[in-house]
Amino acid sequence: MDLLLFGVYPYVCLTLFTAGLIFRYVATPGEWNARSSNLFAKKSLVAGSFLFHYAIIFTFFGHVVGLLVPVALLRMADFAGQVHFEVATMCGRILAPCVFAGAGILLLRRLCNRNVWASTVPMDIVVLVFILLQACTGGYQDFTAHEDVLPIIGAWARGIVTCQPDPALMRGVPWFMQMHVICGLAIFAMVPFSRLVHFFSLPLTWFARPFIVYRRRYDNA
Amino acid sequence: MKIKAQMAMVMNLDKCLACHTCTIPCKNAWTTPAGSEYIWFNNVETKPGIGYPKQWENQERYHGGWTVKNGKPELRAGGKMKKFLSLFAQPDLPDIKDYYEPWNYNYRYLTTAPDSKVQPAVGPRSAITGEPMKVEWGPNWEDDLAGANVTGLEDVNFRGMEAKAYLQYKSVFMFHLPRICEHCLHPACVASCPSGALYKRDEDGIVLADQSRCRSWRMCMTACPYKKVYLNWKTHRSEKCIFCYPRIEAGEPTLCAQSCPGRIRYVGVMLYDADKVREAAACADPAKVYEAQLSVFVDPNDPEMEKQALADGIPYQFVDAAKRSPIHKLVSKWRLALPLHPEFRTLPMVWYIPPLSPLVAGGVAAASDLDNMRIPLRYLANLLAAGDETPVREALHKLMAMRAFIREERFAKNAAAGQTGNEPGTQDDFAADPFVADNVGQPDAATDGLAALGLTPADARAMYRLLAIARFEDRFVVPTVRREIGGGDLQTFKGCAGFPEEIS
Repeated sequence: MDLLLFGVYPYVCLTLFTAGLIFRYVATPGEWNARSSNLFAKKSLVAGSFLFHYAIIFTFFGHVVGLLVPVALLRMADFAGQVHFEVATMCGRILAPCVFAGAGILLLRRLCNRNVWASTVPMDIVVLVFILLQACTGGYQDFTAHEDVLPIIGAWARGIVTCQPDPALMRGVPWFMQMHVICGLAIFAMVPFSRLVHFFSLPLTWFARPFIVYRRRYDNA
Repeated sequence: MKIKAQMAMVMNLDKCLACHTCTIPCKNAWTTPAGSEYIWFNNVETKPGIGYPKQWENQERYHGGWTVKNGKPELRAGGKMKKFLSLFAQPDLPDIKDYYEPWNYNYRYLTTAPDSKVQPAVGPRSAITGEPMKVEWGPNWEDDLAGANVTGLEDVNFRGMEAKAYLQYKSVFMFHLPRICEHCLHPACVASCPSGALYKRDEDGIVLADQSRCRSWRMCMTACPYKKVYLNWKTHRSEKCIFCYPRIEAGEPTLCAQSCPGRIRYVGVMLYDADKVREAAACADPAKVYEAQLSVFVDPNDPEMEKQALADGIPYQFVDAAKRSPIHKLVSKWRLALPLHPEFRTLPMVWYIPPLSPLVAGGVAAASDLDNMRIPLRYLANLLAAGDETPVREALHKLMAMRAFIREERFAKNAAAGQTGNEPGTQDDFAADPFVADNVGQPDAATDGLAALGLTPADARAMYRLLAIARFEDRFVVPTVRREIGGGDLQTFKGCAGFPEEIS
């Protein structure tokens, strides 16, 4: 079971993630967008979207630093062990409620505004529910449980990305953190099949290009 | 200097009566799919009024267009960094209620309803949700001043005027304003698109939204001060007027222009110096932007400019069309047409000839007495010249002088043929018109009137021919695209620069 959940499943998710993205980009480039519903309900979006997006961006980079950076490197920066754990918990205590509130507002407006509901596809709801779930399990760890599993999950995650998976590591991890990992990977797998693709469209090229774009007629044919 | 060609349009507001015939073929051809019901690439508004979407001209509310900062044009909504950090939600975006919630009727029920003592009736149902709804706004809601006594108070074109006084029944005025995308030389929508989906076509300046690059950031909608970029709520992508480019490429005018029964629309090529665009948009004084934009255009009949245009890679057909362009005559040569809200600094390319209107003072007035017009000059100036009355006054004055001259000429012709003006069947039914009454019996007065405005009798005749007769081939001078540039059959390429394949 461990082998399946923490040895095979992560690779299934990551494969779906990469292959799905490539397939979608090639097959339906026209549907690659953020699926904005700004037109239908502005105030709730301004409230929910800013809160959610900023919180989730910091959360994402927090996870990257917390899990993937090798311990040796962290030690060099004097940022290992107890310090690491305390900082992670503190960040989580700030960010988890923000993510929860932001995603909650977004889900509520999707369910309550009839126009937004009419332009909703099932995947929009699934994604939001998974994110809310993540905020719950993550928040539970930060506020209540305080399980010191960061080094274990970190070691496991580094094993996954370096193709040396060690599913046995996850055996001692409490159930809600196992769920956090499983749902997190599920979100990765969902990316190509949902509106989440939009985070690969972060418009950085905008800064480099002139204001006015000219294109010749059949450049894109 | 880098000369580029631009397809442009002029609309003669003097003749528009808001029949909405332009809107119908446009709607039918381009915006019928689900998700685009509320989108009208062409709509006709009645002025005074706040239009569609509500208050689109009010940039205090929507922050569209450009301002000038440190001598450079800057998006009014803020710089790239500010917009980038606020990608996630846009407080300035119009709400669907500002456009209107589209609706349908279940017409089938009228024929399938069971027998009853009363006629079956159907109510409006939202095209988005399918539920019954209350209709509260639409793309021509204020048609012929409907409700303008209320909404007109919010019309920003009353700036510096007593709006209330003009919305009284006794002194009320109106005219119609057909609107399409302006296909600007300095488009704010293109500038603000983070993913570079919106672009100006290099060959003819038509502004298009590339559906396969649109990421639904909807910056274009807020940036466009004319609110002519729309979000399809079903595909979540931007859609906008495409200036009927498949027709334009084949040498045909746009659908709105061709279908106009009043023949108010003109389509043609303008040549302009692309290097001067930014400078013109950076003009600090809003009232000077109009002149600045005029200085961007180049005269295609100047042999030097023609040579330069060809050297810059403009096909001969385009240069030739530019020489015969009705737009060039109306915009640059005679200066009869003016840009819509030049103060937005997008350098729009759909221009408007201001409407003449009856004199309110009554009786015979001097032909130059434009201040007594039913439509206040100030209002037109706020609409077409950033509040500067001079260019509006000049354009209207020229129209009057042209009318006077043509009538005078006809009068003289009839007199020479031994007819008096009062005989039935003659063409001077207008002899009692106050504009012309001044000049009757003074053979040279009309010519003098022209000369004072820098026009010759030949100019007046050409103006008359273009504005009053308005023959198809004079109104539309559209060059066809060279096949060797297109690289194939137009039908194969139709739809790839604007619309997603699943729709076309």
